[in-house]
Amino acid sequence: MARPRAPDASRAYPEIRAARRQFKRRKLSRAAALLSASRQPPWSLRSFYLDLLAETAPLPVLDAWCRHDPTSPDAWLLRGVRRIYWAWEARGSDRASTVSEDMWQVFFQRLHAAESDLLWAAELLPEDPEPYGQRISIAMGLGREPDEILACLRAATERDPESYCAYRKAVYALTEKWCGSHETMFELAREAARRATPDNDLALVLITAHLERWLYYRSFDQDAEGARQYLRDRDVRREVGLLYDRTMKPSRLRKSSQPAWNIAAFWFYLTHDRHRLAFCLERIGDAFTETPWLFAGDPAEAIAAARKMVGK
Amino acid sequence: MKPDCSPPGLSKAQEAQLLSALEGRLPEIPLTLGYRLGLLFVAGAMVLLPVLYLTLVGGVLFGMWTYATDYLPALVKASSRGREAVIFLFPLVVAGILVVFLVKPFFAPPPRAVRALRLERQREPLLFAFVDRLSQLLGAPIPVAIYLDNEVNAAASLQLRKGRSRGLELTLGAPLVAGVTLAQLAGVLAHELGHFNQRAGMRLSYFIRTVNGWLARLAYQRDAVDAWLLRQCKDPENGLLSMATVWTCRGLIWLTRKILVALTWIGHVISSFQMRQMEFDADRHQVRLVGFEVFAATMEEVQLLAVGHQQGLARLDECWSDGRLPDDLPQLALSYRHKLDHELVTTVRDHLASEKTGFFSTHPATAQRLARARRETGAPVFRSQLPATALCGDFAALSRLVTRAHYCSVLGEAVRPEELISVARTVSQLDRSSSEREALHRFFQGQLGPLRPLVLGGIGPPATPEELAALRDRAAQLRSRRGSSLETYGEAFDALIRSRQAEVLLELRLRFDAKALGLPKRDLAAVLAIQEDAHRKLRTATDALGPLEREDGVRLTRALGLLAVPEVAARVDPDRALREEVPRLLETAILLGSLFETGRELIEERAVLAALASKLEAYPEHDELGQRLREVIKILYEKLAFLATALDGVPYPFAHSYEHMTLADFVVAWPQEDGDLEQLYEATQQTLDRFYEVYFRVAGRLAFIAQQLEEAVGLAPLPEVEGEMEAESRQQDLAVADPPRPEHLALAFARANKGPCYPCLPIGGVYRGRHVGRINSTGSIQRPLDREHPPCPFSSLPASSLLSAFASSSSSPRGGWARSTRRKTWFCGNTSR
Repeated sequence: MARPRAPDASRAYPEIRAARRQFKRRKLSRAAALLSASRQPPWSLRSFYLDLLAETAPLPVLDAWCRHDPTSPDAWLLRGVRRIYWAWEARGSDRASTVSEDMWQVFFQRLHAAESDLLWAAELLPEDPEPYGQRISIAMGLGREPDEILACLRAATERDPESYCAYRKAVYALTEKWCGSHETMFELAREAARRATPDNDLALVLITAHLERWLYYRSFDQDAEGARQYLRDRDVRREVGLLYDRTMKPSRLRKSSQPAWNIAAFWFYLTHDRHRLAFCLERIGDAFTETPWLFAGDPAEAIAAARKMVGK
Repeated sequence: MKPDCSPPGLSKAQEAQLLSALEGRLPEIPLTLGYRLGLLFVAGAMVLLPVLYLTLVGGVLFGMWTYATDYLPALVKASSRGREAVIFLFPLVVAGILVVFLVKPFFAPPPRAVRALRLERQREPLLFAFVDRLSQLLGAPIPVAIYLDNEVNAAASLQLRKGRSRGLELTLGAPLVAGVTLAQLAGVLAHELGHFNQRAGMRLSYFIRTVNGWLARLAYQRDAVDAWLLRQCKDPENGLLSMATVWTCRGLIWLTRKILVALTWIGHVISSFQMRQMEFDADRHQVRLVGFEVFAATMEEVQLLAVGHQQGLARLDECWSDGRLPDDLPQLALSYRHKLDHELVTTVRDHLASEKTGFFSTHPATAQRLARARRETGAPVFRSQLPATALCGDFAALSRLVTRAHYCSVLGEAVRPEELISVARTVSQLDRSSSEREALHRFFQGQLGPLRPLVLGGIGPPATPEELAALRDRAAQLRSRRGSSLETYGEAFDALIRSRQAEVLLELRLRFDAKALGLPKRDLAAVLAIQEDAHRKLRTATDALGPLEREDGVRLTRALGLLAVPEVAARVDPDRALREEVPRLLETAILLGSLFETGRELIEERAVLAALASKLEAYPEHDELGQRLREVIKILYEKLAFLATALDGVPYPFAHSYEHMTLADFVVAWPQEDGDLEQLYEATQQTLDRFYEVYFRVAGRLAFIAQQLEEAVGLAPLPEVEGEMEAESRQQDLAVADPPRPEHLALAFARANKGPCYPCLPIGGVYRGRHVGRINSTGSIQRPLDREHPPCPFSSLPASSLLSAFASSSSSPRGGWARSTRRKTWFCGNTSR
């Protein structure tokens, strides 16, 4: 049997595919057009484009764009986000203890450079929540205080109270393994959940928090049984289920939400909730992302198993 | 008249009054038949030039076809052997290549211009309304967009896409808006919009300018194919046939370029007369709107503002050394414009009065424009004493935004808010730095050489005025005795560097141009003799300079010792800051002085690296060359590491935006990538620049304080010495006051782009120069054209695997002050407009 293809959300969107193809020719007019068109609410679309474009945008071309068009918020924003990826490329995704001192220096330098870009992008388009949301990742990488993370989140939510990107990043940054604790993480995730409606993706923030808790049991506490128990915890399942019924089930299909729904799908896959998983997979379409499926091992195989679970 | 730059916050009534002054429509300026015919003739000629070029391409193709069909079959038939027949194909191949190169320039993408800040109608309603009304008044199209940039200029340009007009775009220079009155700005805008008030004229002039620019680009722009061919020509590994083909291609490119250059010049000559007429025509709009007096004042003010702007930009490197930049460049330009001394203002005025229109000028001389403008007799339509900034809601905010955008474009990085300082603080710091440089020069009477440190001990015991006077006398005597030892030292060091380069090249039996290294011949014995002679001269000069250097050191430290005298300290250092600063500075100066030897060695090894690396391309398989390069790289890394260790943890002695800056972080630059020769070369250059910069800055500060202390005990400062510094400064000022004609700049700019255009070190020399831009008559800044950069030894280095082999020879610790504060070219002359 042929091995399933590695997940890549960009496959689901022709415009992203075209922009990525252009990157290979060292051009980015398509990416520029997408970002330019998303300079207005709903900001979730901008966030969606950024996430999918920044990963592969070639830095030298972005450098040239920034020099050539120094007052374009899109240029600096895209480069800022790209540089966050670039910083992680230097650090790698291993535990902090395994990263060399030299690589930490490079990681920090790149994050600082990304932060400068995002600060400038924020000045050029003050109403854009995205630079503030992205700065949460930088504050997290640089090990800054939770207050600073929350300040960035506030700045982002002042501009877009339903900013899924900012809440998700803040919840992740406030996990026990980064700058916070399980309590602070859940406090914030529940704040986002209270704001969740069928028209936004904030419900997924709480699911992210539960997934992070499960991962912590598994990877940091080395407590496989604890992780299993967590997935079976009735209170946890009930909280997620109610939120799902209130906000996700009645929601309309939105292009920019599709990749984010992978989180919900993965959670329902883990909790063997076939009915909800089927709905989530339907919503995702082809927009599968590597995270969070990689937490189950090979992401492509995990997705195939999830599909099989619902008989697809 | 100095406009008040603070936003006046116009009331609605004032705004309405301002706009009502621009109601109606000015009577059209009738175009003479001669003018119309001239325009048509020039436009026709401009059509003909590309047609002529295409005809040439067609001619070559026709020749090929004729040869291939009429002659080739007969020649092949007549030849007895098959191999001979191949020779008859050669003309076809050559002609084919020629056609490719003739057509190639058509597909070369134009260089991208830096985009300015686009203003929004909702945020700047008054400015847009003002421009709209002005356009209607002049019968010109209303601009579809207004941009703000950082030049002392304004420009309107027609934007076309796929042959259809997208409308007129107006670009305003923020320094211009900051520095002129509203009436003056209105006049400038009337001039720019006046170019577009006749539809046919507008399109024709657009067409003429476009064809001119296009031809110039085709003739002078270089691309990757040119660079590749150049590399191939230098490659000794290429066989005879390859070399013949490559040289043929280069010859053909040369030919096509010459044809294009000829066409460019023809186009330029044909159009320049008509362009001048267009300028006169646009001037008439300006005069009719604001009157002759304002017109004349604007012509002068724009020039003076441009000089101020340039002076501000020219000193940005100094600010950037400390990781700081002024937050408002237009305001900086205005500050410097108001600081211009009478002599320079007079020079600018004299220049404007005396300049003559050249045959190839696209703009008439100012005097001629003024004479023509005087003929307009009508009363001005628009009068206002308000500053031009009154048109903007918050000009200061816009101005700061434009400033940061300019930095972003130059640096390629976003400048952080903490790196920005106010203009007042910038000017005060730069003034202080000038005073300190002047004090250094004066205190030591211009006798401090760049390669020799002061001989300093700790702070000496306080000297009496008599003792200080006696020390001055002794130093003066020694100075008169030392003759030309300092110059001899510099020359001998230069000779030593060049002979070292020649020595390694000769040892490796590599070919090189002896004359380029200032040597009589390529002979190892002769080179060694030169080296020996250089060493002898260095020793002699050191012996001659030593006593004076010691005496000067004693004089400085004894003068600084006066800080211990309470009465003197109370006058010079009331807040006791100097008593903390001086020991720290002295310690730094002693430490840096002790590293001068390392600096000299770094210069020497870097020169050897340059000499060897310049041969890498020609001898890619030369094992000994590779081995020698590895050794030099290792030595350079060792020297850099030595400096870094010696300066590690020593606080940078001046205020810096990065508060934990150490001397090691400031001075020592490491290549970003191990094994990258070009980066290593740049890093050593930057290290040397920074090393000497910080040393002489510290010495200047100490000399300044010492001079103040001497004055406090009644000793007048030593007389000023007319030295290199003054001469250089005067030369810069004169360069500013004598702007070259814009059309010459455009052509020279294009020509200058033929080769690598980034600053490179002359082999064996320390690059201490700074880019000094020039202004054209409309006030836009151009990059320097009169300064030939010596070819960079790495300009055509291949990214060969050989380079990566060096990676293992070194380690490059990084960290701390990560941002590059390398010297930048702060001038962003936008050549597209």
